[in-house]
Amino acid sequence: MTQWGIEVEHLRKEFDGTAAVADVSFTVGAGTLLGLLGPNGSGKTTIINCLTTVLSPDGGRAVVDGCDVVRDPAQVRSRIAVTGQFAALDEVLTGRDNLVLFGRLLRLSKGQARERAAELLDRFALGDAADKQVRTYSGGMRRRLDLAASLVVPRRVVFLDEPTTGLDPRSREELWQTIRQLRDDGATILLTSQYLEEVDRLADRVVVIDAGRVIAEGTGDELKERVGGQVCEVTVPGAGREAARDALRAASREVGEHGELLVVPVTHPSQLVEIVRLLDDRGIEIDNVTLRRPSLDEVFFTLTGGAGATPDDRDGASRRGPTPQRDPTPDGVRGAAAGADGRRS
Amino acid sequence: MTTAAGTESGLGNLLAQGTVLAGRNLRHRATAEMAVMFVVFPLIFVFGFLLLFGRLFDARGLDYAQFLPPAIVAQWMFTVANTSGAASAADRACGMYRRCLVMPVNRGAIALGRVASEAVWAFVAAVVISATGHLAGFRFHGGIAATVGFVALAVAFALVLTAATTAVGLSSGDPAAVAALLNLPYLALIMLSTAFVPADAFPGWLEPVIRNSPVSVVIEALRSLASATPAWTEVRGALVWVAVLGVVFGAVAARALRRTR
Repeated sequence: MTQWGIEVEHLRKEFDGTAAVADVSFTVGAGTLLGLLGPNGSGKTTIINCLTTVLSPDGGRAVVDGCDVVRDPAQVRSRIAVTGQFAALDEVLTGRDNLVLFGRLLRLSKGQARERAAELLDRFALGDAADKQVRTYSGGMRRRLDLAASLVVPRRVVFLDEPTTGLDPRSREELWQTIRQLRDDGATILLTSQYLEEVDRLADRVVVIDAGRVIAEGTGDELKERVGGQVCEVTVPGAGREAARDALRAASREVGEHGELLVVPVTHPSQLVEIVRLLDDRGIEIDNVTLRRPSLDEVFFTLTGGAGATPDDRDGASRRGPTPQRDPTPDGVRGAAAGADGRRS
Repeated sequence: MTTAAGTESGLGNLLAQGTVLAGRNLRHRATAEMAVMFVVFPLIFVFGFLLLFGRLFDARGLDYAQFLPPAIVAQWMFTVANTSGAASAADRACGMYRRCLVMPVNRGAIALGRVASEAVWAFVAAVVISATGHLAGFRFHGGIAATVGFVALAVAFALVLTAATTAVGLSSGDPAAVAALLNLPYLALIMLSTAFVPADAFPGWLEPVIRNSPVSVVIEALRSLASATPAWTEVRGALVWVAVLGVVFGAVAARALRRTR
């Protein structure tokens, strides 16, 4: 057994001459959970697809549980569990029958497959819906069943590609619980996410990628340290805003603007006082001051310097400015995650 | 924890996993809709066409009750293949296909599962339509071997078509679009064949095309196998077409299976 559950060295994958993954290296220690954080189109799913043998890389090397994904894909497949962005289930079959089907495909006997299905349904809190067709399942149930289906045979390495996208906060919390349980059972887990909060809550280490490259790596705390720890939002009405912005910049602070809000990264809560004092000294009227954790947008903005968006990632690019959480996003979950993260509501 | 559980190489895995997938495919489509499609529609077609054209052709000395059912069988082999193509697209759309790709599942088992389940559907359709035809006066006059040959040729034809529709279904991944798209070649090929009228009913310049279309050749072979005097020459032509198309469509399907992600 090696020290690493997953090793990725200079991984590269191109589509029609464009590098979806340009150059990515990281390792995941055996039995630990690595969060792969990045916006839409940053290459997260392509990395997962290379590591799970769906795609073959154009360059570099990847080893999963000691097996090379290019030289020995069949061995890799027999060691991994994969839960993709969208539940991969038979909608017509019941939850139980799905699990039995996958058990049979993995060459369990009928009896073994049934027994294992019952066990998993119980463990993933799906017992009540076990004999209903999957098409009647809620989003959260689907995700749990999908994860259960990938674990019909216990696996040492588990890939979770944006497992909570589209889930309501309660389902998300339940799934997080399950993921923690998996890690506590000793699995090596690679989890991709767009939510800082999610990787912050679950991951031992975080790798941030953007436009197919690693742009930061460390623990969640280290990353937040790098982006300034917290964000101070100052509401300044009317004409005072420009003066306030200039004053803060003169005091060599980064300032983002969003309507009436000025957004200022701070490294320590005490700096809130400094900011208020600075503005007060200049006679600038303040309506409100709040302190919150930086959003993923702000993390990316800081780490990438606002640049590095891929051409096909207009959505990510537009989100990347230091805007507060209240910007309307089409994805309700993202808003919910941001709300918890920002502690505004 | 178990580490490397589940393997995918070898004939044992191919057969076992292919059987599991075939069972799932069959069960998946064992719906009321399919029952209507495979039982009610053939009844309507056999009796409907007989009612429409029966007297007309009887007047020309053609026993339409004997002429028609082999054509309905061929028509239904298209239906088997087309619904199979849509099912392949649905498997890709819902992620089942992708899940098989990341599991230790033999790559050939996905193909085998389709082939086996469609063979069952094709067999059922051929039997149901022949039985329906029997009610209308259709008979197998050529003995047991010819009757078995009739069913076997029909199933082989369905599988060849299924190879083509599997390639289309996997490449598209949109079940509704695939179902709509596949109706075009199906209708064109059935219309431009000897399915419902003899070749000499077409304009003279079109006749050679009609006679030599693979659909006509297969239907004529089926008619021959059901007749009192099955002719090897007719059957041989159909076998050649089935073999050629089998190689071509088989290669296309294999390519789609390798490349679809």
